Amino acid sequence: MPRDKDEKNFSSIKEEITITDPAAVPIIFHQKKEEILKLLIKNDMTIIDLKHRTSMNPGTIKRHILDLLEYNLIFISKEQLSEFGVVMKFYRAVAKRVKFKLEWP
Amino acid sequence: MRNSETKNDFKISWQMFKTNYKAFIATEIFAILAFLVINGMILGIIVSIFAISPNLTPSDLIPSASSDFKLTFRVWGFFAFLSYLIMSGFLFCQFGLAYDIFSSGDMFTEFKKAFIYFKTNWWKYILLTFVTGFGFFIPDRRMSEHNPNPIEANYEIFLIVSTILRFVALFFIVIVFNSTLPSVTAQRSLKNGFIESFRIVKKNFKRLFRTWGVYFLLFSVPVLVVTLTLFLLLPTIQGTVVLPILIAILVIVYIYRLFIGFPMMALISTRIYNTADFERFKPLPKAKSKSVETETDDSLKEK
Repeated sequence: MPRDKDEKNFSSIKEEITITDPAAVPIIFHQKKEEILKLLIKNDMTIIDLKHRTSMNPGTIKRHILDLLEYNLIFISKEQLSEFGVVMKFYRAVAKRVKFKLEWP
Repeated sequence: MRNSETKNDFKISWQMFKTNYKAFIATEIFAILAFLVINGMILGIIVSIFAISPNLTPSDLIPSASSDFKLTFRVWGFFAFLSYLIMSGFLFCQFGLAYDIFSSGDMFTEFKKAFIYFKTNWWKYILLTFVTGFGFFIPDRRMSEHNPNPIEANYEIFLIVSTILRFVALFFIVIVFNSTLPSVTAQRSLKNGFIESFRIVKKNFKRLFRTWGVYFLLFSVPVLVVTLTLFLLLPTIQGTVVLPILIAILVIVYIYRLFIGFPMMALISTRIYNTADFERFKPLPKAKSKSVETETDDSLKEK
């Protein structure tokens, strides 16, 4: 059942992106950011959803989210008002897979 | 349906307060500390002025020993007024925290965000203290008279009636103007804040009356009842154990109101702003269909 849900959501993101910015490498391979990114590949999630899925507090998640947004690894997929009157911002990974293309010097 | 709106206002706001209480409590403690530090600095300046001035002595600052009671009253009045503004300015930053929870999309807040809201909205928050809570602060004219007779029956009745009238007036002030605070936080415009507040009152008066009525019963009436009880019983309970007990109860209800009542006011007010039906200057994201359940809503329900 969760697999179906994941597969359904997979269709809304790109298959693959190529990263050429070396500064994005430590962002992706940061343990906590990687954990968040993997979750966001599967589903749209709010910070509170991510809090329930990880052991991190919302403030820490928010800072990781801002870093991931800065390097265009995730995006705000939707904003909606819940029936409780709370605006919910959902985040999503840009692609299912990331490729690196780096040259030096 | 409408009763459940009031119930949900409290239920959801309480859930949000429980998950974000640290930020709200820290803001209040900071507001109290700022109030004490600034008061200390101003007191030092005023004592110096009284000490330097040839016509005044530091003892003129003490009402019972003052040679010019009206001047002493004005000095303390100024103090109380300034303290009220500083305190309210910081306390109103809690509307910024409530905005973070209800409207930013992230559904949580942090203490440091209070400073960001104070930086951007401080003058609006301070101006709004005149509108939303000034009723607390109109001093009784008779208090400025030297040695009023405390056992004079008319004087007692006058004070009790005026206190109750000011309390009722404050209730209606809150109904009419409280929505300006979440609106100003969201729109960053004082004018739009007032316009939206009037629009909310016009279309949602019953809900506002019910929700703020329950709020006043829970958080403001205890303060009023204990204060009036203390005032009425004071001549008979002096020197007995009842007096310190009543004073302790009064302190407890004030703390309860400050640390739970004020954050709840910010959260309830912001929830009303988000869910009320009225014409907005800046639209909120579209409400999602109630039939679609997501993990986020489930987790909110579980709380």
